Amino acid sequence: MKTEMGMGGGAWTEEDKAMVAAVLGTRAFDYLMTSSVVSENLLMAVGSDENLQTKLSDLVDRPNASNFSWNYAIFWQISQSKSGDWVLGWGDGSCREPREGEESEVTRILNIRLEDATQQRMRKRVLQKLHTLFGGSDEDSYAFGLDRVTDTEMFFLASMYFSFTRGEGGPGKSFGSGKHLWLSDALKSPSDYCVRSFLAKSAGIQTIVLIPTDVGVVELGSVRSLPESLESSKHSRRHRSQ
Amino acid sequence: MMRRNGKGKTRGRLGVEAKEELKKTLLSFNNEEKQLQFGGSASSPNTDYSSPQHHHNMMMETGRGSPQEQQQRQQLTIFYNGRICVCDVTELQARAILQLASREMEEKTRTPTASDAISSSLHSQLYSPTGLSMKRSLQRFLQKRKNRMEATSPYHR
Repeated sequence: MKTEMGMGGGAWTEEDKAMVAAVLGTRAFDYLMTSSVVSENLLMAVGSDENLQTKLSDLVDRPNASNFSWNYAIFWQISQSKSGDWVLGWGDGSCREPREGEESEVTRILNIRLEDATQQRMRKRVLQKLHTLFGGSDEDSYAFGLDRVTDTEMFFLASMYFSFTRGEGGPGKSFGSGKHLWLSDALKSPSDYCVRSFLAKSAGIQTIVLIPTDVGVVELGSVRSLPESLESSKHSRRHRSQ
Repeated sequence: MMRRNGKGKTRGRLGVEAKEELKKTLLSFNNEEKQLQFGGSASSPNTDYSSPQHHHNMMMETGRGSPQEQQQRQQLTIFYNGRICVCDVTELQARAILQLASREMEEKTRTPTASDAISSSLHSQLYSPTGLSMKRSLQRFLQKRKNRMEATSPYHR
């Protein structure tokens, strides 16, 4: 059955909560605090695809003929509980830092700031807290081992801790409706494509694509503003169908 | 740097007896008592149930130090991990042992309570398909990151 995600007796102080909300954005924070997670008796709809990781990596690390590649690719994997409820959870993903000249001028200027030690410390602590909240042990704790957490990395890593049921969040809506989403101006858009929008915007993501499949949802993002065109669609579809 | 755990929990491998022994030792150093006997039957300093040097988990240096230092050694009987050790310790050594013991007990008590705090549904996340996927992705992410850093900075180690 669905269970409330609890904070664990006394494990999160008000200060902790404020910090997490500041780093992830209020919507993401609220979502994590209140979402019902169907976590017990989860069955994978299909086994994990060995090629999946390669495909996702290629979308990110292998530029096409026009020298384009996505900045992140996430696969939200469908799982189903005994009661028949389905939930999308982290399946796999890949990300990379924006290359020289890739980001919009606006983003580039906004990102020219001195390395904020406080923000870095907060980011690591938030990741650490999420890691522990999800049952991670101290042994495989990674957050404080990172020299720094970039905007892209923060978005990517925090995303791992999200799950979506029907209609919830961008992936949930996409899977529920069976419709894909192509957003070209995510930075300027007043509406959030997902509860994780705050983090996506911090990472300078301008284009977001959500593609439902039988076994989950593929989410792609780019710091470039890309109109939905035949070229870009073909690129993604080719990789998905292989 | 040295900490003293005054709570005297009974959990952990190092039992209450050992901790009490150590506390007595430290007290004795403070009170400058030189003829303190521990462990009831430790009347003979030569009663060695096991050699201190080879004792499991013991980090002791024996037989070193100036005559002055040796004068300040106290006999200590420690019950640990199913063995008994009778040895002479300096205050420093006693403190070090106490610190080790405290740390070990803290680790033992910390781990179970962390999972108590998290609701069981979340804890099972770790072993759910999602949890395993997360671990895998994380490992690859960290490896990729490491490779990138090593590639750009050949002197980085």
